[in-house]
Amino acid sequence: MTWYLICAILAVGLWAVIALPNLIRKIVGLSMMNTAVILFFVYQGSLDSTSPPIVTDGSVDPSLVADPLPQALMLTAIVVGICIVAVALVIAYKLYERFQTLDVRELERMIWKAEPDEPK
Amino acid sequence: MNLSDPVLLIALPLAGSLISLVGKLLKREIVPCIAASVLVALSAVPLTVQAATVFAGSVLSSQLGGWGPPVGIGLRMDALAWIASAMIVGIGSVVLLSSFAGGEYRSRYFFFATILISGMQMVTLTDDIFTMFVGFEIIAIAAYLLIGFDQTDAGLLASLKYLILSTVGVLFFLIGVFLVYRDVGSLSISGIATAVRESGLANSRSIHLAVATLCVGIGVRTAFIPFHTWLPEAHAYAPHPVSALLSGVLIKVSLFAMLRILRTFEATYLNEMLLWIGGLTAIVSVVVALSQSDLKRLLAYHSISQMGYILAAFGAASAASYTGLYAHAVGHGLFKSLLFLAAGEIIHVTGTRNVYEMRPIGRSHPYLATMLIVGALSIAAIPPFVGFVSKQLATGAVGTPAVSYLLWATSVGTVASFVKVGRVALPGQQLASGGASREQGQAQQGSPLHDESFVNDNTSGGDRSTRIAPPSAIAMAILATACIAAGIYGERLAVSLSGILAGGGHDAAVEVEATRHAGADTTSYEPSDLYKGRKLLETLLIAALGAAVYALATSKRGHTITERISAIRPQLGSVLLFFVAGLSLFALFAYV
Amino acid sequence: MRKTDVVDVAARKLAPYMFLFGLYLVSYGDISPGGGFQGGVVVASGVILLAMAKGSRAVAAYFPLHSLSLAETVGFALILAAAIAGLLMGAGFLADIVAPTGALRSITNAPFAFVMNILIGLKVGAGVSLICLTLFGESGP
Repeated sequence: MTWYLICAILAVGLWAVIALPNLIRKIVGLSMMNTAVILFFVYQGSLDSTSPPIVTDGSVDPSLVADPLPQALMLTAIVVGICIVAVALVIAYKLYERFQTLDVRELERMIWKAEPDEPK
Repeated sequence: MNLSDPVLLIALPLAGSLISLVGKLLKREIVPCIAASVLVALSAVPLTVQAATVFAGSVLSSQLGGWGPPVGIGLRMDALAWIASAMIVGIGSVVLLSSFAGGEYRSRYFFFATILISGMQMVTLTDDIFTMFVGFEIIAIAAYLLIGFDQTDAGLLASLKYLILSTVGVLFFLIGVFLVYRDVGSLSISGIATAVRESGLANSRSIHLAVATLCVGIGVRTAFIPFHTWLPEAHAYAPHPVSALLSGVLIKVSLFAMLRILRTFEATYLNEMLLWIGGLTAIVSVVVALSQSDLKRLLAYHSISQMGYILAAFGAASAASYTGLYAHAVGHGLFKSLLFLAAGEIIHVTGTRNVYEMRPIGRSHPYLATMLIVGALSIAAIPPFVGFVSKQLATGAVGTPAVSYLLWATSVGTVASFVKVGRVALPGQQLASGGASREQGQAQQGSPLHDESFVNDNTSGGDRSTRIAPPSAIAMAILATACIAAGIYGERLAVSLSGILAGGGHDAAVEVEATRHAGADTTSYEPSDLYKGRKLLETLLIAALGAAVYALATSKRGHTITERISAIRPQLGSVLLFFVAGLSLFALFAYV
Repeated sequence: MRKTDVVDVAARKLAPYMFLFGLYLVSYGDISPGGGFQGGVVVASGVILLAMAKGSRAVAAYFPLHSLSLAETVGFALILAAAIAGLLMGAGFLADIVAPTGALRSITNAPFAFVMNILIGLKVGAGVSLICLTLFGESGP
């Protein structure tokens, strides 16, 4: 059941990226897809156990704690995701400042009409 | 310090990026930029130290922080990684050198460029697929910011479109990583290879699906059809040295990563499809390239087309075709960076991006014209330039007749397209058709910058009004020399390359492939045949046909067709639909 | 949007605790959940909270942008230096150059990890605050 739910989040994110013309919504869609993929890993890691993998007295039974590797990996993936979203927002903001629209079809139309013939 | 540690190749550019970051705080920004570039170039020292070991067939490995698998991050350098790494260092340093021209790129630019180089080394050298993901994202962030570095409207839009497409792609890559982690339990490439070989996992559907998603993720970066749609915009509107870096090195690094993953999973069932995709990519994009009037977009489409050759050689999956793949990847890296650097200077000199409106520069800038001619002859595969050797190696190894015809036709198209570009290098004063349309272009464009440079050109009588800065001239000279040298010594280089690939013995998959295809491989590989009569005649025929195609394309009817083709611009919606189509294609192949 | 006193008071009362919690996460990262990145982000979110409540100008008086930028650069430099130090000592990139003491429940257990966490916390905290304050500065609260 949970797997299907995560797949649904992924599908909604992909739909938002493909179908919605607004750049901010596309970026939110990207963020949702990123979250879904992170959930895949974290949920898989928690299937055996959900207790935190912390060594307090020198030894720990690996079968009794959650798999720490997906969590460590996903921490990195979250950081990467934040960076991507930040860069995307900055570029979208720059474009909005210049053209007063976030509709990507509008942007394409306006920018391609004024074809840059000049290098700088 | 241990010079044979592969991590040095990642750490040196990273240290360079730090120096340029600190340089932002200083008054004289140029000094840290030079230091950063020198650090990148210094990577050549560990590379040369490592070469002997690696070519002898052993693998250099290193564990970050001394943590072993499965928790640690491992690096692994074999002969294949060495070639890719050398390419990154070589072309990367040359491009950094050329970035000093004009003095418009400062510490921020060098920060991102060195981070990009560091990320490419990371993808090349890493031994686990999650670190590969991180490397891809480091490359990506640096690339987005570099593409939009000049803050032109088109550059920002291209950067954002690339960002959206490649982020979706890399998330599918991450899903592939997840499937591998779930089913194999290991993320290190050597661990996966062992697991796949021993447990027969390679034939399970979920591993097939994982391979498909991994390929889709990398496919977006590698830019073959149907994932190519972002490349023309991104590479055309990036700053010129960045275009050279992206087209010359980055797409090849992604391809090498894909090669590595497909070999690890022994995914031979994809070869047939990749062969056809390669052929189609080559022919379709060369037709589109022939129709372009924007110089840099034309070059960008040719990059896709040349990736088609490389992919077809990959799909042919024989020892000879792997030699062709590596040869053409390196060769294309050399001449495409040269072409992009020359194109940047030409655009600067003539003040226009439109090939039809450019005035011939042969008389006013003979040096630049020579560089352009060297690049054009290389990509058109005319002997004795590197393109001839590498393209012969790549196409010669493709055994499927239909695909070789496609590649053959692509060569004709490439020649035609570069006849068009080469006209710019002629010594004439005005192009026959160029004069009138240039005037018209002026009237239509009328942007202040454009006019200014036009006036500037005219008042000085088209003479040395715009000199080529020495760093850029030296960078182009290095690349051009490499193109010619690699062409002249092509036979010897090809023999040693195939020796490295076959004799290394480090990669069992190569030998398996080689023996498996020994029977089918009728076009047996003889590098010494390169400069023999038949090949030369074939080249002559291709060149003649190319000139004819050029004449056709510039005729009146041809012109309407090319105009119609070049009017097609990939919108973001269709870009993403192309992506979904490609995803479905790969998923379908995984399940059948 | 109109700001209310509730936001202002809550932010002023909460922010010190967020800084404290962030610093706790940074310094205890090597023996408990947390770490340099997480702690740094919590510290930065304290800065962001203040910026939302009191305006980015007022916050930039306490955290000037150029010193945040300097802190980030210094953090990056020290991280890279610590990583390369291992390489120069022949132990490998990012190697644990200070041996763990074996006192499992103490933050001095793994001195290298502790120092790394603090450096990462510095870089991330300064970096994220810098990004947000810069973005707010142009058209934010």
